[in-house]
This record gives sequence, structure tokens and C-alpha cells, in this order.
Amino acid sequence: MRPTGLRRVPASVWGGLLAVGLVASITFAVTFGPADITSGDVWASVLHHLGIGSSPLSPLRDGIVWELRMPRVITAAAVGAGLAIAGAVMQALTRNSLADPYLLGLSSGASLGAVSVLLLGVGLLLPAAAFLGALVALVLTLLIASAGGGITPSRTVLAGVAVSSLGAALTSFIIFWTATGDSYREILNWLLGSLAGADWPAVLISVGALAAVGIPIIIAGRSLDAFAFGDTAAAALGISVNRTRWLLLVGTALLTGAMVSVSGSIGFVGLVLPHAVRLVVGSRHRVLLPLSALLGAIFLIWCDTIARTLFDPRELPVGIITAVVGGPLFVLLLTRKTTRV
Amino acid sequence: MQVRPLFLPLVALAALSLAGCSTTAASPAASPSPSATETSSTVSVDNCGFDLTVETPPERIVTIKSTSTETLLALGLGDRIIGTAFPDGPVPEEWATAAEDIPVISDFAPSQEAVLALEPDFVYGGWESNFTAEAAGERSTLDSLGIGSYVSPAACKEEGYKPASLTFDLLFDEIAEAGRVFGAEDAATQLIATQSAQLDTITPDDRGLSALWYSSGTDVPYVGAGIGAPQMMLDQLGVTNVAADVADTWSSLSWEAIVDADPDVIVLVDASWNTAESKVALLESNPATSELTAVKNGSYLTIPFAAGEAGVRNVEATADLAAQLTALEIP
Amino acid sequence: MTAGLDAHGITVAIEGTTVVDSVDIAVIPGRMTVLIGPNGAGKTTLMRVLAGVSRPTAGSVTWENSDWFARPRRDRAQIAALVEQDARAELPMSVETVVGLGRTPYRALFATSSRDDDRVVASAMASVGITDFAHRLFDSLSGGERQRVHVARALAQQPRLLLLDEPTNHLDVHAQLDTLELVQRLTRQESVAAIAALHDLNLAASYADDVVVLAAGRVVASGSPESVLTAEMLREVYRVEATVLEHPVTGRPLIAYSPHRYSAAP
Repeated sequence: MRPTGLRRVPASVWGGLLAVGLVASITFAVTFGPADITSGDVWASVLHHLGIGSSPLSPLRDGIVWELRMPRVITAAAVGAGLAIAGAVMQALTRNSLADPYLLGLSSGASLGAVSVLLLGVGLLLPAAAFLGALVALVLTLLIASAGGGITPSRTVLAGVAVSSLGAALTSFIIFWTATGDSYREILNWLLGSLAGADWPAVLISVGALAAVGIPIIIAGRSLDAFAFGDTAAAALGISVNRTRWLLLVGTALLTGAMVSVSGSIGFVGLVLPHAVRLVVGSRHRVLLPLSALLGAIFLIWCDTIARTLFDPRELPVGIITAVVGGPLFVLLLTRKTTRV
Repeated sequence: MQVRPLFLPLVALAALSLAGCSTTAASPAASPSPSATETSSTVSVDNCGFDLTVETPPERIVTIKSTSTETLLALGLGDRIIGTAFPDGPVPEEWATAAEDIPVISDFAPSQEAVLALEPDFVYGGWESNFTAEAAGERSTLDSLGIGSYVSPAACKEEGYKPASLTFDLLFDEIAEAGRVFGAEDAATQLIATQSAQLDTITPDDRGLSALWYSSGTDVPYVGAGIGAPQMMLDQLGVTNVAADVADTWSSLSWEAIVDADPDVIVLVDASWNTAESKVALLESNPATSELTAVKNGSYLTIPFAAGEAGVRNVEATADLAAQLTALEIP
Repeated sequence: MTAGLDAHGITVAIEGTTVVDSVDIAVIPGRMTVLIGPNGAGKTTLMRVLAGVSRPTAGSVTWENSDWFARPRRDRAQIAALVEQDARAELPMSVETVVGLGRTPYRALFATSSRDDDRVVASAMASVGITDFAHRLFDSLSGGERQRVHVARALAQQPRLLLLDEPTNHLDVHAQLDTLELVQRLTRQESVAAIAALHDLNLAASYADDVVVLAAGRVVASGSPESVLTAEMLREVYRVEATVLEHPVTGRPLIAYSPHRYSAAP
């Protein structure tokens, strides 16, 4: 039986289309926003900053394009890509299609770090505290998972749930205990996930993490296929199971931690997008990971564009949009899981 | 899974956000009006949908939030306050001595037990959420214990009680109602007269300026919007609010919209948890906002947090802002 | 006798319990060895050691006279293919992708699947008769069909040593015979060394060249089917009464079980 319809298109063609789509998305998302600036002026400003020509805009409006919109769109792309990769890897490592990047307590650990800075006034930079919190949560999850018996995917997942609950409870406690006046609004934005604060340092962190950790994961992730039937089968196929799993797990945690530290815990990207890609190109990770990254980037760019323009001049946290779009999409994908691959 | 770990903190925030930071004034339709009273001492008021009947003026009052405390102090009833909670800032100087001996029972919303332990006969709250089981107690519960309760009408959230837009007249109506409820009608009339007089001395600025009312927020600023106390005060100052079109008391706004509007003046709300200095530092360090005209010229006005909520300090605060504004040279 | 896989004194202790106890066993190229024994006898644990997937607590294993575990993992995977009892994929994968997993030990880090890989995969699927399923979702197949896909995956590894743990469990009779005949053909025609753990003693009798009986982790009998599959062995190891006949066509042992507790007469 030959593949029909969409499945007949080779993965490389999809990759090319998505890559073009990403460039187009960046180019056009930058032209959207509450301020009324023509597309031509936006692009002229961007080109000017890239060294070509001069900017037709006043310093103030130029700042809107180059200091507000541009870093935000690029960060959205990097974060979307990173979360999608992390989600796909977690789903393979735990052999669970409901897994997402935050499974190992990462998001609640990061939330705890963020809340410590925002409400307790701990003297760290917010991204650093969030990242640290994510790592502490990861270590705790792995310690619990390995206590009393070997570390297995299901034990790791359960340990992650326990650590997540603990982190969430502590975070709630701190919020109840200390949130005064309107300071809770900042936490809300962070917990739902928001790209509002994305500046050029955030671009550095997110793109840097993607390059330094994301790309090696994509390469190492090719061996993820072998994990499909469990550890014994993977070992029988010649994979060093423990080493590969640890490397991928720690790598994913680092990648997720870095993304969460700049954008808060944006949901549904890591959970839904790998499924969408699988539906069209199947589960070979050599193809799934890069395509998920591209689709994740495009998805988040547009979700964020909606978040910052829908109720202009007000802004929504992007996590609300990804949930509103991603939730139904996820249900759709699950129910469409037919015999056709 | 995704949802579960975030659920708890989000519930916490939902509960807190019900507390709301916005204050509103009673809409004209529900403007506090004394219902027919047979005897001069019984007062009946529909307060945020709760039927309040006061037979005799309360003697042992617990206040929650600064606006309640300050209203009573302004009416000369400081000696009747037996405890206060959830202050938004220090009591203004003129009432400081009167407020000296009032115990602060909690820095945040007090528990029901803590309130009842003081044996009050009345609780005066600044937000509706002060009257939940987790805080001072449901109003019906307090009522069954013989304890009256009153919420600043400006903070009512329900349709019909939430005002379309706050004005000084509505504010004065509130002071009048408070005077009736607490048995200080003469003091209220006098206070209104004093404040009206002061209000009349404030001449609106004629330079056609625009302003941003910056309350808090770093990545996403939280600003005074179109229908609350900030708008009321900016109107009196003769200054256009860049967020005037947003139909809310306070609202989050995108930096881009603010930069695009380029306000001439920025009003900084000064709170202990978020100072005016920290806001200035933020504005100057953010590469986009550092280009704002107001930032480059240092055109800032400052107002303490509690004075920015609808209450007896608004007139004074507006006068102060007007003075600061006159002193500012706007190129 | 050509070398093949030679295991001596294999002992495996897990959390204080000895699961496999001093087992000597050989899997010889060109011959099919069948491992039988009651549930919990340690067959799966032993198979994993022989496959090179887990290390024994004690004992030595050699392949072609050199230390089996000294070889790099990838090399072992190119030599030995293990088919374990059915597992679901949990993530959506096509049958073709699953069979393609068998090529994993041959793929370098950056390599895409070559034409060579595709040919091997296609041939593996054809051997097992699942070419029509190539683009179906693996989890949508029946238990028996999935089992055949696992066998195809093992074949795609182009193994010299084939280890199958209860490969016939979910299959109908036709498929059971097909699978075992396929393995037999591989041993005869390609000199593959094969070892299969089987439940069905009559299948063992029909297809095994050598039979090894494992009980409570120990080898209690080994040799030709005729010498091993005796009524006494069945009574002692399986605690059943049986009569061992001779198959009218193949001449191999044919086991007829007697009723367990009730007599035949009404």
C-alpha cells in the first residue's frame, strides 16, 4: 500500500516549506503591532540595523521595531523551536504521548525560582533564578525516581508529578503570603507564559540555548527511534541505553530551563506540535525533531503576534493563546489517530 | 501533565485577582441615597447588593485597607477604630497622631478569628474580597453575629453597582453615605465642602499634555485606564490619559502602545513594593522606553499608592499633582 | 563444530534471588536450539544474557571463541538480534519504520537510510509476509501481526545469531508454523545460529535440533528432542502425565497429554 495524499510528500520537502515559512513568519510578524508603522518602514528600519541603508523612523518608533518587536519575534521563534524539540524528546524517552517538556518538574521549579525573585525579592536575575529552580527540580525528580529500585520511565514520570505538585504548592504559598497590591499580575504573566519582556539579552539566551543544546539534541535524537519498544530492545539494537537517555534528559532539561527562564512556562507547544508533525511525516526522529523545531517556531511567532495585537493596546500572555489554540488542536489530533500513518 | 502543576498557583492567583486592584465608584443609578428613614438614627443602605441597616452608629470598627481607615480618620472617627488591616502605605501626616494607637492586626487580609477576637461591631472594607470566609468573613455571617459591614462603593464589581466612570461628585456622594452609615453626617458635609473648595482651586493645565499613569509591571506595564480614579484625577488636571480608551479602572498595556503614544508626562505610583525610583530605573534602562520624551526630560509626577485609590485622599493628591505639574517645564 | 555462541557457568542474581544458576548452553550456527521450561524458570533472563543485553553475575560467554561482552555494543547488535514478547509502540509508528529500526546498528550518526537499508527492510518484510502492512500504523495491528513485524525487524538486522523469546505466543497455528519454518530455513540456508524459547512442547519437538530444559534457573536436561522430551521429564519438570508418541509424518516426538485430575470415563 503506497502512502497517499500528504504522506506522499517526502520529509525534505516539508522541511524546505517550513524553513521558508519561518523566514516569512519572522518577516511579517515584525510588521504587526499596536503602533501604526507601515511594513516598508519596518523593513527599512530592520535593514538599517543590519547595516544596510538608513532608518526612515524617529528614534522612538525605530525603538519600537528594533527594541520591542524584533527581539520578541526572534525569541518566540527560538523558544517555540526549543519547546517543540524538548516535547518530542520527552515523549520518546517516557514512551508517553502525553509527555511535555515540563514533565520532570521543570516548570514548577522554574516558577518557584521566578516567584522568589518577583515576590520575595531574592537578589538574582529572573532568568537565572528560573533556570536554577528548573535544575533543582530536575535533580530532585531524578533522585526520587532512582530511590528504592532502578530508574524507569514510569517512575521518572511519577517522580516528576510529585515534584511538580510540591513546586506548585510552594509557589502558591508564596503568592498567597506575600503578593501585595498588584504585584500578582507579574506572576500571572510568568505562570501563563509571556514573551512581553523579550529583549536582546533574551534573544541571546534562547537562540544560544537552541544552538548549543538544541542542535546536539536533534543529532543525538536520531537514536530515539530505538527506544520505541523499551530499554531491552534498544540495547539489543546497539544503543547505550543509559548514556543516551541521561544525555538526552539532561540536555532537554537544560534546553527547557533556558527557554522557561526567558518566557515563563508556555504550554501546549511541546505537547501538541510533535503530534502534528508525526501525523504527516511519522515518528522517525531524524525527521520529527527538526520539523517540530521549525513548526514550533512558526507556531509561537504567530501565537505571540495574536497575543500582543488582539486586544490592542492591551496585551495577553502568550500562554493563553497557545492554550486556546493548542488545546482543541490536541484533541483533534488525538481523535484523528487513524490507521493511516 | 501540563495542566496540573500550574493549576495550584493559577487558582491562587484567581483568588487574589478577585480581590482586584481596581476601585470603582457607584454608578449614578446606584448612587448611594438614603432610603426613607422613620427615625433619624436608623440608616438603611444598599451597599454593593447587600442590605445594610445601621440602628446606632458603630463604636468598635475594624478597617481593612487604607481607604477605609483614612475615610474614618477624615470624618474624625479615629477613636472608634479598634484595629486595622492590609494597609497600603503609611497614614498621611495630618492624621498620623490620631492613627498612632490603632493596632495593625495583619499586613494582609485578616482572618475571621483575628477580626472577631477584637469584638468589633462593624467591619469597614476597601475591597469586596475582604469579606470572604478566608478573610474577615462573609457579610451575612458577620451580620448574624451582630456585626455590620460596609464596602467602599467605589470597589463594587457587580453590574449596576460598578460605575461607568468615576467622578469627584460620585466620590463626594460616597463620603456623604459614609457619614450617614457611621453617624457623622455633619463631619461628612464639612469634609465635602472643604474638598470641593480645594477642588475648585485646581486649574486644569492648558498645555494640552498627555500622560501615562504607571502603576506597576516591568514586562507588561499596569496603568491607570479609562474609568477609575486615575482617569478622574487626570481629567481634573486637564491632562489626556494615553489609556483613556480602555474601559477599565486599571489595565495592562503593551509598551509598544505607550511608546507609540509618547506621553508628555509620566505619573509614577509610589508603593513600598514597587517604588517610583525603581520605575524610573526601569524606564531608563529599557532601550525602547529610554527614548520616550518624558523619560529623556525627566517629566515625572509622583503619587503614593494609597492616594491613587478612590477615597478621601484623591482631592489632596490631585492638588499635589497639579502643583508638581505646574513646576514641570515641558519643552 | 563451528564456534557460534558458547556460554559457561552463567549465573544471574537479581536483588538477592538467583534467577539463573550455573547454566552451560551453546547456540551453534546451522542449528536451532529450543529452550523450554515452566514459567519463571529464568528463560527470559538467560536469553537477555545470551543476546548481550544484560551481563551475568558470573560466567563467560564467547562468540566465535572471543569474549562476547568485550565487543562494542554496536558490533553485538550487528551479530545478534533479539525478539522479545510483544510490546506496543506507544507512539505512532508505521510498520515500515518499525522494521527499519533493525538497521539502527548499521547507521552512522549522520547517515540517512541508504538504498541498501531499504532493500534489506523490504526483503525482511517479504520473508515474514507483511509487505502489505508496510504503511499501516503498528499499534493498529493484531497481536499476531505485531509479532511478525518484530521478527521482520530482527531479520533486518541481518543477524548471525537470532534469539527469539516466545515468538509464537499470539500467532495462529498457520503463523506459528510459518515463523518456525522461517527460522529453520535461516539456520539451514544461511547458517544462522538460532535459539528460541517456546511454550508449546510439540512445536519444540517438531522444529528443534537441540532442546534445553530450564527449571528454577538450572539446566535439567539437554540434547536431541527424542532424548529430552520424555514422559519422566514431563512429570518431573512440568508435573503432567503424558505419553510420548512418534509423529506419523515427521518421525519426531509427539506428546499426548493425559487428563490432569479427572479420568477420561464419564
